[in-house]
Amino acid sequence: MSEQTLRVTCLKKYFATRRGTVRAVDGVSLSINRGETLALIGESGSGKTTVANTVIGKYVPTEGQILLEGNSIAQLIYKRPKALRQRVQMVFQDPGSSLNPRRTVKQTLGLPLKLYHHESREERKQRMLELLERVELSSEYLTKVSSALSGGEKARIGVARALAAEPTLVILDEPTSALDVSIQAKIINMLLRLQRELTLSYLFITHDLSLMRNVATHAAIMYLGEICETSQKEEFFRNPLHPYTKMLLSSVPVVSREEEAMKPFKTVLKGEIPSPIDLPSGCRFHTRCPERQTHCSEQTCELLEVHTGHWARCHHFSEAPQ
Amino acid sequence: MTQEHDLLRITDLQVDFNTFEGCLHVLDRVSITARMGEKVGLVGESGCGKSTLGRCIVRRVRPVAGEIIFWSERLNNVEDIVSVTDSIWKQLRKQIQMIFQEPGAAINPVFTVGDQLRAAIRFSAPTHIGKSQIQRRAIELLQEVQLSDPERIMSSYPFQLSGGMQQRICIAMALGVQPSLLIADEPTTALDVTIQEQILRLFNDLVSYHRTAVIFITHNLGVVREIADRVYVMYAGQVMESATTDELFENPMHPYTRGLISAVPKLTGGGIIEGIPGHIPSYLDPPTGCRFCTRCPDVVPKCDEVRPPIGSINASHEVACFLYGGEAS
Ligand SMILES: Nc1ncnc2c1ncn2[C@@H]1O[C@H](COP(=O)(O)OP(=O)(O)OP(=O)(O)O)[C@@H](O)[C@H]1O
Ligand SMILES: Nc1ncnc2c1ncn2[C@@H]1O[C@H](COP(=O)(O)OP(=O)(O)OP(=O)(O)O)[C@@H](O)[C@H]1O
Ligand SMILES: [Mg+2]
Ligand SMILES: [Mg+2]
Repeated sequence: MSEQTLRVTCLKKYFATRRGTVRAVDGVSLSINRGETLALIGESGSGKTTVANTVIGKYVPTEGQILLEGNSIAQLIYKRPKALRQRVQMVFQDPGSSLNPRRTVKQTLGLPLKLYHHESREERKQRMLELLERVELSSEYLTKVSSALSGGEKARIGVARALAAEPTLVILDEPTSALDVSIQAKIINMLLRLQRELTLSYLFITHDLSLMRNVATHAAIMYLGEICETSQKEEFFRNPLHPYTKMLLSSVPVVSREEEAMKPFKTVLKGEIPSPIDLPSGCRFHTRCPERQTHCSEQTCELLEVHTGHWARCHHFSEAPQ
Repeated sequence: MTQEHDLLRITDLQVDFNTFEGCLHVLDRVSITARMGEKVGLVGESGCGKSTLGRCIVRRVRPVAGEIIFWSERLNNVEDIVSVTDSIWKQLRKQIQMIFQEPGAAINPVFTVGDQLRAAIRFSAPTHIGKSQIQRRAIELLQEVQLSDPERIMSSYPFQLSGGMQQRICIAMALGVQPSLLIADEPTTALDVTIQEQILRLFNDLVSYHRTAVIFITHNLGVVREIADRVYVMYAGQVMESATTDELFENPMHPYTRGLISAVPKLTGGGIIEGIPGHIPSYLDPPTGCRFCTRCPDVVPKCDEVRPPIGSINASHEVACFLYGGEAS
C-alpha cells in the first residue's frame, strides 16, 4: 500500500461561463502522506474548494491526474464509485446548505452508516450515539431537524457525518469557521486524536493561519488558481518567502501583542484584485504585490525550490532577469 | 465621548421556542444598546443565541417579553420593533439590514446574483431610479466588496461562486440599502484574511460616513478586537459581560470571558488549548441563576439559584458575576 494518500499532479479545472473561461485551478500539484495534514490556504475564490471537488470526483478535471492511495480517481469513479466516496469524505464549507434542512440528525447520520457499513439497526444506533458524543452533542439531537440547529451545531453534524463513513482522507473545507473557539478547540483536538488513532490524512482548507499553525504538518498557499508557496509548516512560519504569504500573515486578526509582533508587514496595501477570467500578465500576484519590480508584470513565474522542501513562486528567487 | 443617540435599545428580551421536546428558553433577559456610529461586537459560544437576538431585531423571531426600541431618523421617532404595526415596520425595514450567517439563507439559488442585487437596490431607493443607474450602483457595490469582474459575478448563479464570494454578495446587498442599523452575523467567516481586512475597513467607512451602527456578531475574537468599539459577551442566552474592546481584552473579568480568550489558537503556536470543559446547558431546563454555573471554575452555591445582577466595574465595564460583588437579594 502506498504511503501517499493523495497525489495531485498538474491539476487544471476550467469553467466555461457566459463571460469567458474561468481558470479556477490552473496547474496545481500537491501530495499528502498517510497521517499528515496539508493546510490549503489562499485568497477567497482562488480555487481551493474546486481542488477539493475534483478530488472527491464531483468535478472532472480539465487536465491533470489525481491518485488516491496509488489509484487514479478517474478510474475509481467509473469502476468503484462507492469505494471512492467512502475513502474520501468531505466536510463542507457552508454547513447550512450541505445538510438537508428537513432531515433529522438521525437520518443524516444513518445514511452513510447504512450505505457503507451494512450494520444492524442496533449497531447503527450505537454508532450514531458514539458519533454524537465525539462531536459533543447529546442524544436528544437525534430527533432534531437540521433547520432547528444553530450554525455551530450544524458544523458538528457535518463532521460527524463525514466520520461515519470511516474514510482515509478527509477534506475539511473550513470545518470550524462557523464554530466558536472553545468548540473549535474540541473539534480540532478530536480531529487530531482521530488522525493519530486511525492514521487519517487531512486536506485542511482554512483561512485561519493561527489555527493552521496548530494543526497542520504542511502548508500550501494558493493565489488565483496556482500554488504560490508550499513547505513544511514550521519552516513556513520561520521563513515565509512569498509576498502574498507575508501579506496573509500580516492581516491575521490576533488577540495579543506577542502575536502582533510576528507580523512581517505593519500595513498592507490594497492593490487591484484580479479576475480568474482575465488573468494578469507575468506573475499573477503583481497587481497587489508590495515588493513588485518592473519585470514582474512581464515574465511568468515558476514554482522554485528555494530551500529544501520549501517552494515559492516569485521572481525574487529566480536568478534570471534583472 | 460625545453623547450620541441610542439608536437601538434592547431591554430584557426573552425568547422561547416551542418544539416537540418542549419549550426552549433561549434568550433570558438580554439587554444591549447601540449608538449611532458605534460598532458593537456580540460574541459567545455557538448556540448561545447571538443569531436569535439578531433575528429578533429584524422581526424574524418574536420575543415573548422585552422591548426593542429603535430610533428612526427618517421618521424622527422611537418605535418598539416588537409591537409596531406592519405598515411602520415596512418603513423601518429599509433602515435595518441584516447580513445572515449562512449565505445560502439569504441568496436565492435560482436567480442570478445580478437580479437579486438589483432588486435590493431598487427596494431601498427613496425614489424611482432608472435601470442604468441601478446597474451602475450594483457594479460599484461589487467593487466595494473587492469582487473583480463584476459582470461575470452578476450573470452567475450562486453555485458558480466560491463561499467567500457568496458571502460578499450578501454584504453588498445589505450595504446597497444604506441602513442606519446593520446587523452583521458572522460576515467574514469565509474570507481570507487580506480580504477580510478590506471588508472590515469597509464597515469602518460605512460607520464614519453614514453614522451607521453595526452590530457585529462573531465568535472570532481577533476580528472583534479589530472592529468593535464595545463588546457584549453572551453565554447560553444571557449577557455575561460588556466592556470597551481594549478593556475587555486587557482585563477580562467573567470566568467565561477568560476561558473564551484563552482558547483562541495563537499565531505564535503552542497547541490548541481547550477552553472551558463541558457544554451549554439544555435550553429545556436551564439553571434559573447564572447559566454558566454548570461549567464555572469559580462557582459558589448561590450561582445556580440567583442570577447575579449586572454590575459596573467602571464606566466602561460591566459584568454579571458574584465574584465581583452583587449580593443575593
Ligand atoms: N460550478 C462553477 N461554475 C463556474 N465557475 C465556478 C464554479 N465553481 C467555482 N467557480 C469559480 O471558480 C473560482 C474558484 O472557486 P472556489 O470555490 O474553488 O474558490 P475557493 O478558493 O474555495 O474560495 P473561498 O475561500 O471563497 O471558498 C471562483 O472564481 C468561482 O467563481
Ligand atoms: N427556530 C428554532 N427552533 C428551535 N430552536 C431554535 C430555533 N432557532 C434557534 N434555536 C436554538 O436556539 C439556540 C440558539 O441558536 P442561535 O442560532 O441563536 O445560536 P448562535 O449563538 O447564533 O450560534 P452559532 O454561533 O452557532 O451561530 C440553539 O440551541 C438553537 O438550536
Ligand atoms: Mg471555498
Ligand atoms: Mg449564529
